[in-house]
Amino acid sequence: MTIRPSRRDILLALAATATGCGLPREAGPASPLFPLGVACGDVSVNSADLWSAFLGPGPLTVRVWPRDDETSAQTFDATLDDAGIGTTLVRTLSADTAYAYQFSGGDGVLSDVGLFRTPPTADTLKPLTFGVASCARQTEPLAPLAVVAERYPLDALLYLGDTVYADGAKTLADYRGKWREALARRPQRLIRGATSVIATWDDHEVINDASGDRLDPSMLGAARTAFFEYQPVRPDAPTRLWRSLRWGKTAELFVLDCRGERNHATREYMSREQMDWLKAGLASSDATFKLILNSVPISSYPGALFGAFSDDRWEGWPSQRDELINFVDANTSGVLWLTGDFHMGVAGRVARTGPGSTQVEIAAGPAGSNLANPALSYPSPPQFDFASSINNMVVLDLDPATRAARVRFIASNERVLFDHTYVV
Amino acid sequence: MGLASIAAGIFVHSVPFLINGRPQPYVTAGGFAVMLGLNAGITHLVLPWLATALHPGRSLSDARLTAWQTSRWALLGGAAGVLTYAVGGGLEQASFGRGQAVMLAGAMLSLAAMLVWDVLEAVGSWR
Repeated sequence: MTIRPSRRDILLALAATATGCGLPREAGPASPLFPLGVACGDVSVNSADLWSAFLGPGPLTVRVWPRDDETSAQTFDATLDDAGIGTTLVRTLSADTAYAYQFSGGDGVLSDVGLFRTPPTADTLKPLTFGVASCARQTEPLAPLAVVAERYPLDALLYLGDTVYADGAKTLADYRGKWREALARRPQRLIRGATSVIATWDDHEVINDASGDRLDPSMLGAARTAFFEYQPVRPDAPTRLWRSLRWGKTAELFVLDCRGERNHATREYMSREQMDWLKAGLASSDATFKLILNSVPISSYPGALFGAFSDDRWEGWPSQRDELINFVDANTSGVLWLTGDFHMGVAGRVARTGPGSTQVEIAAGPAGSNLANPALSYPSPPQFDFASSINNMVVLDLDPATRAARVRFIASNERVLFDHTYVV
Repeated sequence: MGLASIAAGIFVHSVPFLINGRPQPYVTAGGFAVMLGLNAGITHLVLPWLATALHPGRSLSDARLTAWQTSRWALLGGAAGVLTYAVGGGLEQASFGRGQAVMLAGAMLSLAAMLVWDVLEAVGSWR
């Protein structure tokens, strides 16, 4: 279906072109009719969801080729929805292969060229590098995203929520507008085009401190619809966010929904179904690393200041938190918690002593924030090794041979704020 | 005057943020001291002068003396607030989470002392 671009869309597209966002790495200038660039998500050994937003007339097609052999390119039809989002699920890919792709509109106009890599097969052990990001307020420079996109080759980008600050939106049209505003930013286009995305949401995709049971269902539904439209997510069940993805025998990624299933009446942070799925998956996974993409920290943050806001994070829901931490201690190894939300990059243990004290959690971000976390005190040793509110993005190197996870916090000026290796 | 002093204190507090992205409790305690000192200095210069300007029969030195004698106790409260905050910061640096309540108490005491100083300074200036 053809959509009519709004004046806002045209302005965003012109701005993107003027700032060079439209310049792909391997081809000529992209058309401003693709104002949000391209993205690719939830890649498997043989498939990938390819995504773009297109303002022109259809049909929309996408060409996909191995990066070392453009002569074997294949072209696929993409579905264009009423929001102008074009997607296609490509199912003919090979494992552990680097690909490029480019959308083409009805008039032959071209998008950015996107890049991604398919995971190795399930029995393959090989090092992996993931980018980890959160808290990317669209009105901020977002420089860490651009720095990592341009300097660090990533196997995938793990987006832990607050990819858009949609606060104030109420209707689906409002949420779509916020997403378009966010994804038109040059750093977002660079990082989303540079690798595949594995995304979950946090509160600001809906509203600050969102809790599913305390929101107008129509507003929550609109936010959820917009999330699935603008992030290349392939859910296991319609509108369900939690899912797992496999990256060889090196890593299995468990993507959580920490906002949409909260129930204050039963004191459930997540549904029983999600909790049981997570525990079963962790227990049965033979991957060296089990990465839990958890949009809100599970670590204990002691003290009067942090205690006052515990209801927004796992600590305010002690029954399920204890259940999960005890389960991980007793039944698994290689778990690494990845989180965001705090506007504070943090690396450390989940607890200082007792259950969770051997589990590591990394809080990435903020990727773009003009306001540091205003806490009068920041986490410090021995439980925590690092805490800083300088805008950052995390690069995570996983080496299955040594079970080592190297964590680097990269700042806007390319400075490495913290570089530490955890053996999990 | 109060807002300008608070802004100066926040500026001091924010210096470690600009360098390391995190607060340094002793620097923040210094920020409270700057806030209290600046506020006390400005109000002590301005309020007695304003009082004598509006009531010309009284000397400025008398107004300043009365204001100081009335309000100086609030400075002791402020000093106690700064000290309390610094002690909390020390506890917090020794063990994350242990000093936050003390730091909060120090911050509240400092802000309350600043407010009380302003009120007593005005009362003393016009007495």
